[in-house]
Amino acid sequence: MSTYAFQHLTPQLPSTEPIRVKRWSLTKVISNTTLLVIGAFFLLPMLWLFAASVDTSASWQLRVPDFTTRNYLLALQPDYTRALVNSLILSLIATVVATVAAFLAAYSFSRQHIPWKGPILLTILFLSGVPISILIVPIYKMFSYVGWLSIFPTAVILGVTALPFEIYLIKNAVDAIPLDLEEAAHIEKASTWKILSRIVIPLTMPGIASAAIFGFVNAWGSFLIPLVLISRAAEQPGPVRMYGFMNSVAINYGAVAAFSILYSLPVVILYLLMSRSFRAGFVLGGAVR
Amino acid sequence: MASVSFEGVWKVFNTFVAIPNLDLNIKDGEFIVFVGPSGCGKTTTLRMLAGLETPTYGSIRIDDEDVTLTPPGRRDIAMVFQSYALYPHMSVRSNLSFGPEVRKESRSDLNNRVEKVANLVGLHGLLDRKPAELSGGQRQRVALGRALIREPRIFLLDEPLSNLDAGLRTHMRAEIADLQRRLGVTTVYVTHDQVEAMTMGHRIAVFDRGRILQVDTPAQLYRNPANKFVGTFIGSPGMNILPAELARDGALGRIKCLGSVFSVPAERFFTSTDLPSRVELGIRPDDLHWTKDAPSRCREHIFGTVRATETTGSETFVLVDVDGVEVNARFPSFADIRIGQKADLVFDPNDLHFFEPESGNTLRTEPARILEQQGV
Repeated sequence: MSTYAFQHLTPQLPSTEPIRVKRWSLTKVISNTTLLVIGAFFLLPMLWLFAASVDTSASWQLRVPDFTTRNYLLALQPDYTRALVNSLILSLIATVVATVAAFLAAYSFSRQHIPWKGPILLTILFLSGVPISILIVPIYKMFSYVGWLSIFPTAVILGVTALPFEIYLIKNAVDAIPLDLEEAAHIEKASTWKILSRIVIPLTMPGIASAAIFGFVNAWGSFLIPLVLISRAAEQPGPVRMYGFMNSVAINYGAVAAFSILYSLPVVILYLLMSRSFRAGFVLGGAVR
Repeated sequence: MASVSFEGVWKVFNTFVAIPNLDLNIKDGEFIVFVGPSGCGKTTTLRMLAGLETPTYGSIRIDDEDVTLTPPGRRDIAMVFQSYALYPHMSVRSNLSFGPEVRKESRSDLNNRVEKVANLVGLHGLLDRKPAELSGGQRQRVALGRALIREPRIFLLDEPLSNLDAGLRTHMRAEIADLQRRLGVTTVYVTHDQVEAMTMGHRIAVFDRGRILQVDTPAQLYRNPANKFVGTFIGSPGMNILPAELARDGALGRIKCLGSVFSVPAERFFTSTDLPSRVELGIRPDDLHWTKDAPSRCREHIFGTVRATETTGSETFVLVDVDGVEVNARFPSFADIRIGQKADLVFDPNDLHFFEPESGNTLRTEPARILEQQGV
């Protein structure tokens, strides 16, 4: 030890070649090629979407486009933009309803003593796998009976469909927070609200964010429920409206593509915004235990 | 500062009795250590004092105020958790100021208080870091600082050093003990490490299976264990426990053990005249000496064969087979002793402990008196 300290030198490396790990091997080539082929299957439709959206005479084929902005102008007409706004309203309400309720339920499930907690949680898990469309007829009857066939009640129903899975997502996040943290805050005389707002919610944020994204996307992409439960055409969201581009005679492929891109933008933006809280979550993941 | 008393406290979880009928008085300004093996109820007792668990029966008083059902926040106590329970998303500064903020204490001097506590526990310059960016020792200091900033009536520490490495643990042990001495706040410290208990506590409560077996000063616990469990739990390596035969012979108690017969003054060792004929004899490795390095008061000789040795550097513990029974003895490190060699040991009968074989209670006079005083 001490001899090195006096010499101020990097130690003499051995004269032999350093050990190298082989970069290429047959298995690596095969597995990467397979992955590239599978990747192409996902990439080609996306490529078609972008190409068709700026093509004058877009068809179902993938081809080099004759550039035009006509498709976008068509997709941006007031009728269609209103549909996008409707989608936004529908999804935001559904997300807020589902996430707030799911957080409160998840926290209770995680921290409180609830009789038959296990069977109840299993039921919730089972419910998250049941497609809501099988209940659409009775729900329609109920809604039409009380005169709720409009955008707001539908948004709440869409939120409810996301609830079971969101409860599960958030419960797992709450479970991961050591109880000590809440007890420490409790000893500090913090109220339940303070403990939730200053400790539990910030630490559960990654879970809440994924649950919220799930809730948003769940409502954003829904077609059947709004179609059945919203009676006024002006309140219909994007997916139902997109259906209007396809009539019995022809399909306006360019407009469908342009509208699809516009329609997917909010979700992309949402992911970008939320990715910050995901990153924050990962930092916390390596925190003190 | 405050005194604490547990009166007939029970804690029952479903059908499991964690704490059966606990009575304990903690004096104002005292540093008391709860020590015992895992699952002995020491942490449960601490959590009941903190208000995190409600006793099933009995009452807990702080300064003569019944706090049995008082929520934790209103007890004016501070607790350091084994996991430290630092808020990982907050900086050290926010961790320290969280308590005063939620208690809506004046914000004007909060910064000064944070700085003062940070200096006190040696966190200066780390206030803007997150807990994940701190070392184990620094996290421990934040946890201590968070307790200190409250200026509570009582400090509760739940195995605070168990996540630190050995060197740091020794260092923090001294620091916590020193801090407590300077502040003079009543402190309850839970640990399973008897060394921590012995070095830090004014008094130590030894727990086993939910019961307090003895509450005493470290020296008394070591010299006069109230029963076999305390004798073997306190001290490292543990006390040797050997079967012995006992007979009363006038003022003397005659003991047959380790292949020899020796006698002790009966009234010094045994409370009652009605003595069992079979007892368990306890002798600490420190009290079994190598003949060449023994105090002159050691008169009783025993001989055996060395079975194993274990050196710590400053001393060597030697396992000696005496008449078919293995005993651990402390030798000086310079002793040239090898496995298989013959070893001569000497001891002073006054260093012996006698326990009833069934109950494990001591037969000795003095500790019995101490126990009566505490009403255990």
